[in-house]
Amino acid sequence: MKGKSVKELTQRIEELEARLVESDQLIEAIKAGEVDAFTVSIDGKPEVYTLQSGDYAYRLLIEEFGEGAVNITEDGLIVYTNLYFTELLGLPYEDIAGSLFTDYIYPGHLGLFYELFARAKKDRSKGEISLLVKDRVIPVYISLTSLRPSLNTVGIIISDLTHRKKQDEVISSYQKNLETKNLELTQSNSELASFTYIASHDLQEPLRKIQTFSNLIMSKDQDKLSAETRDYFDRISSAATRMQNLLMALLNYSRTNNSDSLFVATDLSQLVEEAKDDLAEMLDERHATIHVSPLPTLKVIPNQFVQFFTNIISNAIKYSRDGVNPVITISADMVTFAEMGIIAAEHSDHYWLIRIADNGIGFEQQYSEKIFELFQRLYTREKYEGTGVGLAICKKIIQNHNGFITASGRPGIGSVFSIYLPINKEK
Amino acid sequence: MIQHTKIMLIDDDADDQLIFKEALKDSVGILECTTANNGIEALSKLRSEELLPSLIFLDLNMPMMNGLECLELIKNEDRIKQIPVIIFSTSNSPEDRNQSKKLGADMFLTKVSDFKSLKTKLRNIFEFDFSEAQGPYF
Repeated sequence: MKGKSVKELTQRIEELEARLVESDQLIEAIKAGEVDAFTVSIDGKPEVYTLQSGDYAYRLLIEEFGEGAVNITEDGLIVYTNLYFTELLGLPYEDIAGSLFTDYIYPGHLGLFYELFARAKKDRSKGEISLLVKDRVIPVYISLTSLRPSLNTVGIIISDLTHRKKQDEVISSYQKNLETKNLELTQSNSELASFTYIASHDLQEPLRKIQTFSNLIMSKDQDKLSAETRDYFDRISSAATRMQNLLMALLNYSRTNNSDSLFVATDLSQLVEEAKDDLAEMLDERHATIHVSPLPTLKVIPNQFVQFFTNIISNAIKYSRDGVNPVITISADMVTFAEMGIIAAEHSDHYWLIRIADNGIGFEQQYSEKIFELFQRLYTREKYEGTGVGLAICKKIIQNHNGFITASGRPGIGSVFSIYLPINKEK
Repeated sequence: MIQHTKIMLIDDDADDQLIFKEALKDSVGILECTTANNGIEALSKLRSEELLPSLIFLDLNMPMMNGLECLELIKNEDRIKQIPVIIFSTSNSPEDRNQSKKLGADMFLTKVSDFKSLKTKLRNIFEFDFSEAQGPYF
């Protein structure tokens, strides 16, 4: 304002005040609906604002909106359609305006539409229907609103569901696929179980004959045989015996299912005692000590858990270090699923962790999964007897109880078996 | 000791028939042993033979007519129902044992692979007096 006189400045203020009053009056008039149009001078050019142009933003919004928008009379005649809806139908504006909205509805969904339309005339309604244009079915979600009392029409917003439906279809086909796979898996599991049973049962027959005939020969003609031949017969016999043991173990494995077993609330300490009784001779012979901390009472299949403890304890004794009396420690703790570090689809929040630790020969950590596999042995039969089924049965038993079993070992120091049993998850 | 002069073995397995006869010969000496390969054959032999066996050894798993069906028919036929029947099977299942007992079997002998132990068991059976006993023995 440099170089301007006080008079000039005062005049400028008065001008501005006058325009302000004018503006206030205009705004009041617009609010009262008294003005249809007004002119504003912008950069010296007059700009006319009418009521129509005042709606411009809203009209633009509807026109350019990313959803279909139509306005239909109460007789169903389309009086307006936005760009998106014409694109959705793939028809020019002229064809759509003036036609019946029902012309574009999939015939099977007309009933549903009339219902929604009837409700919309009173208030508003929403629903899913399909459109049909030139043999193309378009699934849509429509939202209808009566524009009464201002207009005797119904506004409809149409959302294209094609994409979502496709995703739904993909998901449901995945789901079906998964269900089929699951069923197949269950079937193949039960087939495998019955195969294992039949195989191990029927395989025992010829084996029994081999054993019987070889010891029949030995009992009848032992004196006539050379020392060498007798040795061969001993070998036949012991191989057959070993195979019989394997088959018996396999049979036991296949019988370890929970199809007709009862879950009973049982003190696990009691079951450890039963296992100890079963192993009394072995424990005594190997000067083994078992320390058992208080264990929880859980809903388990008792005879399976006795089998579990029997297998795991005898395993610890079998793989004890030369010259070191076996010491086995069994303890229990409560842990959360997060603390377990196990990946599983279905789980409970809390688990009982039962740890069985021994001071045996241990194993390399890389074998921690392998030792639970059927017929897997880490050591030669000559050094440590066994069928390689004991721990596989243990794993199956824990799985029957919706639990997990892991093993960690340190060569020359010992092994720790950890079993996790879900709490508050009844089977 | 009861004097058995004739017994019957009902078993479809030729090896088992041979093993049984060998064990019989070695343990209780030579005596007549009629064999039948299944229940139907056994029943027809039992019905037609004049001299009945004093013991019947019966396998369970056989074609045509299995052991349990055969057992039921034997124990329902007046002329032969008093003959002691010893089940001679590889089966060790409790269901088979219970079912045999229910149908009137007198004893259950599981087939073993040890020839010596079969001879011992047969010797014991042949010294056993079923007529005075309060069986069945399972």
